Parts: sequence; structure tokens; C-alpha cells
Amino acid sequence: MSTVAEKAIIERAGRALIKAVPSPAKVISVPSPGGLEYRFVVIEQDLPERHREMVRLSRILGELLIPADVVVVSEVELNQERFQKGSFIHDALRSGEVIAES
Amino acid sequence: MTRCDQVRLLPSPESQKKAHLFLQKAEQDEIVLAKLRGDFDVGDEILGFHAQQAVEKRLKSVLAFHEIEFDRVHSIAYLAALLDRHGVDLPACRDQMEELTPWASSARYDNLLDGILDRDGIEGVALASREWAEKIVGAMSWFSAYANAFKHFARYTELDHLMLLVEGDDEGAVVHLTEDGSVWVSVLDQLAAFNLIGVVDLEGEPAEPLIDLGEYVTLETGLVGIADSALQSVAGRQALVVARMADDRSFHWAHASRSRLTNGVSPPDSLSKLLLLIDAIASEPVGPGGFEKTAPDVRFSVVDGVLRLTDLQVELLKKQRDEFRERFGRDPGPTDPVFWKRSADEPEAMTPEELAKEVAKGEELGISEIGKQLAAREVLFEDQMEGASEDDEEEKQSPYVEVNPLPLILVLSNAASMEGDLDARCLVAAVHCWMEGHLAAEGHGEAAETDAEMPAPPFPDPEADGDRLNAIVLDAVARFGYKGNGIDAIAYASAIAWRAGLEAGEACGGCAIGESSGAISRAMRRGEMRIEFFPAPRMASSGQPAAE
Repeated sequence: MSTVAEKAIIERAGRALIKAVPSPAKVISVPSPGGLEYRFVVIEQDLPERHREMVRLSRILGELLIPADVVVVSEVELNQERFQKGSFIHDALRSGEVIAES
Repeated sequence: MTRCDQVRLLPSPESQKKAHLFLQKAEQDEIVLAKLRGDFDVGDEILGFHAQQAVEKRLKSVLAFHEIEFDRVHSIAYLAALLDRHGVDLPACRDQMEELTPWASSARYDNLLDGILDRDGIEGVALASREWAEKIVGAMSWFSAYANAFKHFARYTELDHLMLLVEGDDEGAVVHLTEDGSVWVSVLDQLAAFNLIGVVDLEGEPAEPLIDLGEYVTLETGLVGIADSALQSVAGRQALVVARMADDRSFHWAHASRSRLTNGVSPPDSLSKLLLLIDAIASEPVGPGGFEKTAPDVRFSVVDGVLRLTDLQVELLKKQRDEFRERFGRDPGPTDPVFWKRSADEPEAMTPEELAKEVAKGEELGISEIGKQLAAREVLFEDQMEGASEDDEEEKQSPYVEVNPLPLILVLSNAASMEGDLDARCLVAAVHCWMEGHLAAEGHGEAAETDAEMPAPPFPDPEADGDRLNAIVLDAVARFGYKGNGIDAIAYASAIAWRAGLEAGEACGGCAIGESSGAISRAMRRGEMRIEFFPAPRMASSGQPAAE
């Protein structure tokens, strides 16, 4: 259960991430194990360089002092894995919440 | 240009322990990295994970050391930004460090990652992060151990404020120890000709640094500038400055009962002048075979009145400084006046008469009540410099003015570097500080020559004082144990024994000391002699230091 402060941070992160990525895109907030940090999955239509994109988005949240893990997946990967039980994407979609969309 | 990286509280022992634990864990990751980096059967995700972990833990080590709260997160960017936000300088390879973040998560995210690890590059990044973290945590721990020691020392000897400037090979730190037990450190990345300055505030209010030293400390201003800056932070309080010269490792000290403020009127025998003299002495070449005195010994003792500052007055000084910057486009230097002629193109001090007129004009000229007070004091000080006033005499009666901490520091330094168990080290320190305390009592400024069998006063008497001495040592060891490599316990025992010795000395009708501690010790206690804390460097026949 997120506190009011946590919700505000999540919303802030969602706004920053969605602003930073090309449209269309979605940002999903995923509960982290033990609630140790914030976790966000960003879904982008095209994702030529995932590593670079994850670093870039981590920096954006880092500068906002939001302690978060950011994973970026493409729409193709999302569609491939969304129904595969036990996969990270499946779990993220099941337990997470879309917090921003463009 | 020397600069001040940060001013902050020294960490608690718990935070230091946590910082060291992170460093140790990071070391393990780097060991794995070093062993597997060349093995191409080992995947990038394994090496990337350990590289990221090494960097993450080192960032967390420094965060813990600075007592900056952080969330348990793998984002290097977040940890780095947090340090940056707290004014901690990061390694030059920050970008490369941040690029390691995704490797922390690859296993958790079904190996979604598609990055290619720069196997050659990670070694350099790991090394840079190690050097950076160890430089901060390692060096500061060393400072911290001594800081704690001096803190106890200051507390129990009732010396209220102690500030040290310590130089390493290529860095240094200013350590402020205050009466309320808090400790502040400024890290400097270069120092000039000296490697230790201590300012011991002999009376006064809790001495929180008043002015950020970093605004003043420059290589160009050297010893004088830094000493001046140091004194500014305890402005208005009685202080004793200890300077250890880098080249011959001798100690010098100066007692000043008036700091120069930002750039106040400098009395003819000011601390700055004395420190210039120290500078000149220290810059002389050291002769072959060890240390040679290249200039006459000087007793650095200045008692020239006290200028006390209130918080409001400090604010005014800062305002004057800001206005100076705005008007002349630079920081005020050591010789610039606090109150300058507003019509002049270059900073030019008002004469006392002009200053008095300005004060008389009061609000009309925008000088607030605080300004009037401060200006009045400056004029008053000028008057005092014309001749010693009765106030000066009163200042000299301050009970701690005559405390010369150098012998105590010498004892502490020796005991701290001794081999042996802690009880023995504490006992040695306690016995010698007892003697110093005894000699500090009124009428004991100098020990007499004698053939009396030792131990005898001023040393503690084994029969009469043995129980008390043992109690001091046992108490010190029980309280502090080996914390700070035993230095805390040694400092505590030293300080308590010094007080006990002082009491014994005050009750003593006359005492003696052996021939072996004759002229040299007396000169040192009088402040007339340089003290060598370290062995002389090996010298080649040319007179130059021998090459390794």
C-alpha cells in the first residue's frame, strides 16, 4: 500500500519518464520486492538501444533523487511475453499499474 | 588553487563502520571482476553485475561515511546525484559508472538486457571508484581517530576549541572540534608549506565555524592565509595556533587572543606576521644529518586584546564582504580593510577618525546598529593598540590562557604511536600528562633541576597516587577500549591525568625533575623551542634528502 508521499513520487516519476520518451509510450509502476525502491517499466514502440535508454532514463530519475529501477521494453517484447506466465513482463503487467501514457 | 571541498560533520563510529563494510564488500566484487575479466566463457551479465556492484557499494560507502541517508537502490545515477547534491565531488568517470546501472538488474529481468560490456573499460572504472572511495573514507577515518582523541583532550583539559589542518601527500583537511562535541571537516586538495595548524580556543562560546574556509583558502595565500582563515572561524575568541611544517616536521605555535576577522587592522606583532616568520624559518634548507635551527627560536605569544563578535556582527562582516566583492569584483584579501572608503577606486581603509565619523553619521550612511557597534570596536581596538589597557591585563588572567597544549599533544602523539597493549599505552600517557598538569600549576612553570630519585613529583607518586592513576587507566580502557586504535582511551587517560596532576601541582609546595628533562623540556614548555615529532629524514652527504 503506497503512502500519499510515495504516490506523489510515483506520479512525479511517471510524468518525468513519459515526457522523456517518444510517443506512444506507457510507464508502469511495479511493486518492488520488499518495497526497497521504486520500479518502473517503460514501454516504447521502438527500442534500438535498450541499455543506453535505461541509463538515460535512470539518470533522469536520479537527478530527481527518485530511487528507482527502470526497465525499458519494446512493444514487440511486450506482446511476446505478456501472456507467458512467470516472465518479468507478465508479472509486471499483472501486479503493476499504468501511471502515465502518451 | 587550493579549495575547500566540503564542510561537514565527522561520521559517528557506526557510520564509519558501515562505510568500511561497504568498501570491503566492494573489494570482493572487484576481486571476482579481476579474476574473470579475461575469461570469455563468463558472460557480460556476470562481469557487468560485479562491476556495477563494486561501484554501487563504493558510492554507498561514501554516502554512509557522510551520513547521507539513501534508499536501497541499484541506480548509480541516483546514488551519484545524491552525493552531488550534498556537495561531494565524484570521480571523473561518473558517466561510465552510471552506464553500469542496467547490469544490476539483468538477472531479475529475464536477461532482457542487450548491452555489450566494455571489459577493458570496467577495470579502470572499478579502480577509479575504489581510489575515490578509499581516499574519502580511508583518509577521513584517520582524521577521525585523531579528531576524537583531540576532542577528548580538549574536553577534559577544558580547552574549548581545537582546529587542526592536516596534510596528506596531496590532500589535507581542516578538522574543527567544538565544545559541544561536534566535529567539522573541510577537505583541501592541496596545501602549501605546512601540514598542520591547530587553533585551540582557550575560552569562549561553542565555536562553530563562522565562515566557510573554502572562500578564503588559496594556495597563493599559503600559510598566512590559511591560518588567517582558520582564525576567522573562531573569530573573537582566544586561540592557540599550532603549525607543523611540511619540510622539517617541526611544530610551531602561536597564541593569539584576537583574530584578525576578515581583514581587520593588523597589529604590528600580529599572528600573521608571526606566521610569516614561521614560513621563513621553515623555508630554510634543512642541514645534513638532521634538523638544524636556521633561525632563532621565537616565542609566539601575542596577547593584544579580545574582539568578541555576536552573530549579528558576523552577519555584518559577511555583508561587508559581499559588498566588497560587488564593488571590487574579487574576494577581499588578508590585507584589505573591512570598512573601506566608499569613494576610493581601490580598497582603502578608513582611518580611525574617518571610521568614527562614519559611525557618528549612523543611519544616514546605512550603517546599522550592528555596524556601529562593530566599527566602534574597531576604533576601540585601535585605541587599545596604542598601549595595553587594563582589559588586556584581565584577559591575561584567564585561567586557561597559560595552558600550553603542546607538551600534551607530544605525549598523546607518542603514546598513540607506541607498540604494546592499551593499558600500558594509557599508563605512559597518563603518567606523563600528570607531570605536565603538575607543571602547569601556578608556580610550576619550570621544573627545578634535582638529583631526587624518580619517580617523584611532578610525576605521580607510585604509592600516594598509584590507585588514582590505575583508576584513570582502567576507566579509560573500560570506556573506550580499542576504539580509534586506542587513541580515544589514551586521550581520555591523558586528559584526566593532566587534571589530576594539575590538582597535585596546585597543592605542591615545590617539586623537582631529573636532569634528563632539563633545558629542552623547559624551553618547550615555555614555547621557546621547536618540537620534532618524527625522525629526521635520511640525508645524503650532499645535504639533500637521500633517494629511496
